[in-house]
Amino acid sequence: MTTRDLVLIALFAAITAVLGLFPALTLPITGVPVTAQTLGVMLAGSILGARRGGLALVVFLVLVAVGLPLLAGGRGGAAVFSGVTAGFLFSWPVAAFVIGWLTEKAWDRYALIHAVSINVFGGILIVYAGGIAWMVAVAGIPLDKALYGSLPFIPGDALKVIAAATAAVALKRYQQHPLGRTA
Amino acid sequence: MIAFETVSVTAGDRTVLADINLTLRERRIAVIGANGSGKSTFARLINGLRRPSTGAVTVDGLDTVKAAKEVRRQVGFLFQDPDNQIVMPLVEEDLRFSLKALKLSPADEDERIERILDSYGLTHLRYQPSHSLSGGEKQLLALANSMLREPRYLVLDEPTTLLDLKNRKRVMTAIEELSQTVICVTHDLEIAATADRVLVLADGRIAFDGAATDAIAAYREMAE
Amino acid sequence: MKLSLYVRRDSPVHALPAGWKLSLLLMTGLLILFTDDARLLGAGLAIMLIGFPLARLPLSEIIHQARPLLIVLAIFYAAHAMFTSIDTGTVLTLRFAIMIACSLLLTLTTRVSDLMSVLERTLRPLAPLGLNPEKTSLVFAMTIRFIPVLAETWETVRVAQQARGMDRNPLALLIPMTVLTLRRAEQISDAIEARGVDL
Repeated sequence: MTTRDLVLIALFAAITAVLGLFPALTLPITGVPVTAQTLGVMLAGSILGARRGGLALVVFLVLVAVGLPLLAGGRGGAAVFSGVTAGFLFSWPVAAFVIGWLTEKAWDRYALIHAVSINVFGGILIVYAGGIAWMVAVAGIPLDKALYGSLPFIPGDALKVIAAATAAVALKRYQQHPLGRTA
Repeated sequence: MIAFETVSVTAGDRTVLADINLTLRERRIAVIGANGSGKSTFARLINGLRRPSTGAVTVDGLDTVKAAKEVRRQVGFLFQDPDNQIVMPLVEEDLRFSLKALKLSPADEDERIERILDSYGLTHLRYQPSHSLSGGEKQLLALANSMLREPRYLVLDEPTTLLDLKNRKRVMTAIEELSQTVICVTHDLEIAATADRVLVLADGRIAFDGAATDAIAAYREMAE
Repeated sequence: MKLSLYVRRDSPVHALPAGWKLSLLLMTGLLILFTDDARLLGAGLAIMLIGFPLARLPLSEIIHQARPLLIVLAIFYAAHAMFTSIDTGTVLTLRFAIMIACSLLLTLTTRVSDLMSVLERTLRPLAPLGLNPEKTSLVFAMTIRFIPVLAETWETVRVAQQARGMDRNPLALLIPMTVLTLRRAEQISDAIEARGVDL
């Protein structure tokens, strides 16, 4: 890891924290907050690649765990990792890593269509798989109920996918994308 | 003594600096020139942050590429935006970070930190978050974290561009008092006027090299 | 911006070393898996809750941190009551409640710097596997340092785009924000290298 890698990891962990400053919308029925923070997951993966992107989210979650109030709504501390929805949080580094890995694989022909598909897969499918698996396995919620309860989040996540994908592709076009420099 | 021997820098097919030959011995040197004239690259060559494409830059005989580590101990660097130069959450932690490479004893570290905080009037901010400092205080902290390692040269890259008048004065006074050799890259002609020698860069070449008044006159003429 | 949940008080809970509190949290997490007895778990929760008055924490801060988790927990309990059984729901809810209380107590009574140094001590044995403790703590420190800086950058970008009537377009904010952050990353790495720090 070069100094530049370390700085990029820190700055994207910080971006994810800054995205948490935007007010979270709490859905009336499920009570789960919709936040801009998974946009940080998608950006870290799409811009930094697998290793750095995944580590940025690990760093972010460790800082949350030791008690910095970095989650949307100023929440933090080890308590958020013992709740019913903790699986969503645990999936973030994995999602960022997978998005990054696929972005690196697709790099030579990387365009909006690839960016969108990759972020749908990593930023939506993997995050929900982690979150729902946790609800079913740890919290004992039946699978269909967990699935049904997660549906209202999909439209917001789709918007985040488009935003992250457009930004990543724009960076490649302006030759500002870090993956373009190392390749 | 800083020496440039037939130095040029190219980026892709663009020439950033071309065939620079210089020996710098003066105590206060200013480098002026339009945006994109290669000033920033010139500054970064002196401590090896940029490598020359051809030729060599030496500081007291040390090659800035081959002996980058020793060169950086001798050359302090102050950037335009202190927010990018301060990397630790607390003022004291940031100063200690600068001393890490010197491997001093904790007592020696404390002594140096206390001394530098005192000389820049920052003692009361020692345990404050870096973010809570004003723009001028941040630039003084950045200066302190460069000077803490007691370099013999200090390179400034437009150190006052982001400061208001009052803070600019505070930072400039601190710099004037330094006993070190100072090379200042700047847009600020008032600062350039106080230098012993002024270089004017244009399109990657040295367009003028001489006394401050003549250099500023030449620069003004070029701008018209 | 307050970047820590720590509430300074003079109490036995605060005085307990961070490493002990962290170990207690992990042990509690394991212990509660060994029983399905709601009365036992209820007693465990009651013991945990004594910690809060003992630590002299302000009720407002406890409520602010606990509320979103408790809302989810209440829905969770109701869902179990409806779809599985009240008994299963009670046991699972009590387990979550114990963990939430325990970790909230840890977070509110322990300094971030103390937890970070426990973390660094724990990670030190991993150094031969390529995990450099100095690099690790530098990354954590830089993240904390640059959160307020990037929040300000975001605000600057927003105001600039507002002047052009583009602040309602998220992409008009996101693209300049990422470009500026990447540029900042270059300058920060330069500055670290200029300081002669060996990494």
